[in-house]
Amino acid sequence: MPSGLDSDVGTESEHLSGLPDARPAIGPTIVALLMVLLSGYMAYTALSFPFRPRLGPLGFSSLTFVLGLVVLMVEVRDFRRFRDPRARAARIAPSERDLPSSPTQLGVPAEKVDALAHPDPPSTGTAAARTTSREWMAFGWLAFLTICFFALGFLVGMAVFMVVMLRVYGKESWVLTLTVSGGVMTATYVLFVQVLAVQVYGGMLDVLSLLPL
Amino acid sequence: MTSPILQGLGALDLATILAVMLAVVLSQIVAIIPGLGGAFLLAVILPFVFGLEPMLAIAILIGATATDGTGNGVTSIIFGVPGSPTGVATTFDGYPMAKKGLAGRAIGASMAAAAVGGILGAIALAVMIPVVRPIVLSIGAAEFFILVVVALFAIAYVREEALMKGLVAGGLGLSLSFIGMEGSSGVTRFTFGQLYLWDGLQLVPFMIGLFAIAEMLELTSKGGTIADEVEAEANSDISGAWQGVLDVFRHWRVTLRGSLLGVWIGILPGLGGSAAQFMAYAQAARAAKDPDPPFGEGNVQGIIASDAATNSKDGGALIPTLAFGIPGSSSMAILLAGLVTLGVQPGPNMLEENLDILWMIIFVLVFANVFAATLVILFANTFAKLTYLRAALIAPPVLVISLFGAYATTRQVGDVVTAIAVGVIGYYMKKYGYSRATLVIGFVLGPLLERYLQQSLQLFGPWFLFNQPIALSLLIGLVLLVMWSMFKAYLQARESRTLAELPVQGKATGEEAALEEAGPAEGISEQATAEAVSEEATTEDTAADPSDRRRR
Repeated sequence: MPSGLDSDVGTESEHLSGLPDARPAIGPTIVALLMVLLSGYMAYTALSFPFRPRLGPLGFSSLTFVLGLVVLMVEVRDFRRFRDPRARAARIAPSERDLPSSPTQLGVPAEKVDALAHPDPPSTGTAAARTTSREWMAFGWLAFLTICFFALGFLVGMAVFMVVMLRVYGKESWVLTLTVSGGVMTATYVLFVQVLAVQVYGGMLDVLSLLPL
Repeated sequence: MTSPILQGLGALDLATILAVMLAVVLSQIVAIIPGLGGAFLLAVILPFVFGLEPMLAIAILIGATATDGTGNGVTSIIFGVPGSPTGVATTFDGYPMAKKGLAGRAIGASMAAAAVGGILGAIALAVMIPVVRPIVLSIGAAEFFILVVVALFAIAYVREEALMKGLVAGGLGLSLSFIGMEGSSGVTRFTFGQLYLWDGLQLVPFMIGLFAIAEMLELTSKGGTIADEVEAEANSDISGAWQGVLDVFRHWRVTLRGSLLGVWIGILPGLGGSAAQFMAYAQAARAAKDPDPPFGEGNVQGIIASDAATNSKDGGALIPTLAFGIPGSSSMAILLAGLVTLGVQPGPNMLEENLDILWMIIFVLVFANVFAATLVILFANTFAKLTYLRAALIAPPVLVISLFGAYATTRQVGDVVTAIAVGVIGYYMKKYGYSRATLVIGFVLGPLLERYLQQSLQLFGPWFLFNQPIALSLLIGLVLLVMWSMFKAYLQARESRTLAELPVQGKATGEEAALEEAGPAEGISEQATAEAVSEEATTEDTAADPSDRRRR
């Protein structure tokens, strides 16, 4: 079984058939709404600028706002259709409608055509829940990276981040963890601090100043 | 014209050549590893090149960009899995050849075709300079303004089913570019009282967030490696590469046609490498008389056509990028932004005062393509081993290096915050089908667009689009394109409603049988090409998703 990959991820049609587990995805609607709010705010704020600075932001933000509203309406419509049990039952699997009807159109076996045309994970079912939890895990690591950076600074913080992520997420051995972390930190220190003479951020705790270097 | 040519050639000193070679090596590594791609590499190396001498920096950027489609032929052939979307068509015939023990010949053909295609792309760029120069010098602010708008729309139009999302992304990119102090009046816009935002969002952290951090977020959430899913017995005997090289010259018509098609597609904004490879493959299959073996079963011409087109498209893409300052893809947008930051302004300025830089770019294109092909042929097995790298080993170092790069440009903590925030935005944009290519092009071209708009209004008044003939023609073309896309959307919606009423089973039986009878070559359709193009626009120069191979 491939490590790190869902074993039961299949085509979208397979998951549509698992209707009791199907949950409509609200994410696209939220993203569309955020786009509308952001562009609307920018267009509204641009009204307070003098004439010349107002032109670009007002014009393009207003256009984006209108287009965003269209996208939002489409997303809301799709979300409501998905929740409608009659529409779900009548829905044809996208892999049968949107793809070339024969893999020989590209000279490719059927499973490869489907895999290539559906790179994204499904948005329904138990696999979707697993995908969501993996997403939260990825964001958790990004949050940890941010905390390490602001608290411990570049050199110490990034080293700590790499060691922890390689050990916990990657489940790598100590030898490989320390080798990779040490190598990357040494290379970045030489390149950025010595060669490019970048004064690195020490972090809120300023750990480096506590070390007798 | 001889002086700029000699100056361009003279710029290729030992340091520049070594730097280009390093960029090419990095480019091949990135091309092979899934989850990484051309735009990602450019975003990460940008902070490193800004401290260098401009000619050297430009040579590195070109070396990295020009060969980002070369190395992925290795995994396409040996494992049947492309390292990036531009390697898909190579799997059609490359993998069957490898299964027959002809992996070496396939790799030789793939690399030689890529090199020849890249050289022909460079020649096309050189030939087009005197043709394009008078056109560029004759158009003004109004024409440039509408050209940029048309290019943004054309790039979003590539993904017809997500046209609106592409336009929203482009508009968002334009809006974000307006953050900061406006050049002529000094008015601060959308700064929320933050001094950091007075200079606007910085390019390097923006790119790093959008392409590097977003990709690492996706890689971390998906995990895995393609090596876990491939057959235990890899088809990695690569002896016989020289025969593949000779095949490229034996089938010179296929090579030439594929290369020219790639150049043409490169010139058109938004289409990119995926369209080039499929169109060239389809064209070669249709033109072949009684191919033996058939296309899709190990015919070397299929590899030659697709790989020649994939690499020649870079030369074509550089024509609008350098001559008009209008990039047609996210890689070209990052390259353009890098050139501007290095003090080289594409457009009329490039063709009047910086011809030596243009010629240096052409020579670097030729050298980089030849070097990349030679390198990959010699070290194919070593490169193939990179596919065993797991996401857990790739993500932490890349995230750390990315943050270093984001910080190094202006040494401000705000850049790190920008990179992380844009990374989250980029992740969700990719996930929900918003084009990052139009976002980054809008962001890069926003200041230029605003300047052209203000100049046009000042020179020609509020009706500048209507009293400038060339601008009016382009505007009419844009309106027709918009109306055409709306009409097509209406037709597709009507067809979808009709299909929804049909029973699922047996719907496509008749069509499928007819296609199978016709064979793969004749059945290749625009629909299939459009689907592949829309996937390219989604993945945007990044590598194929590991979960694509989930059922191998």
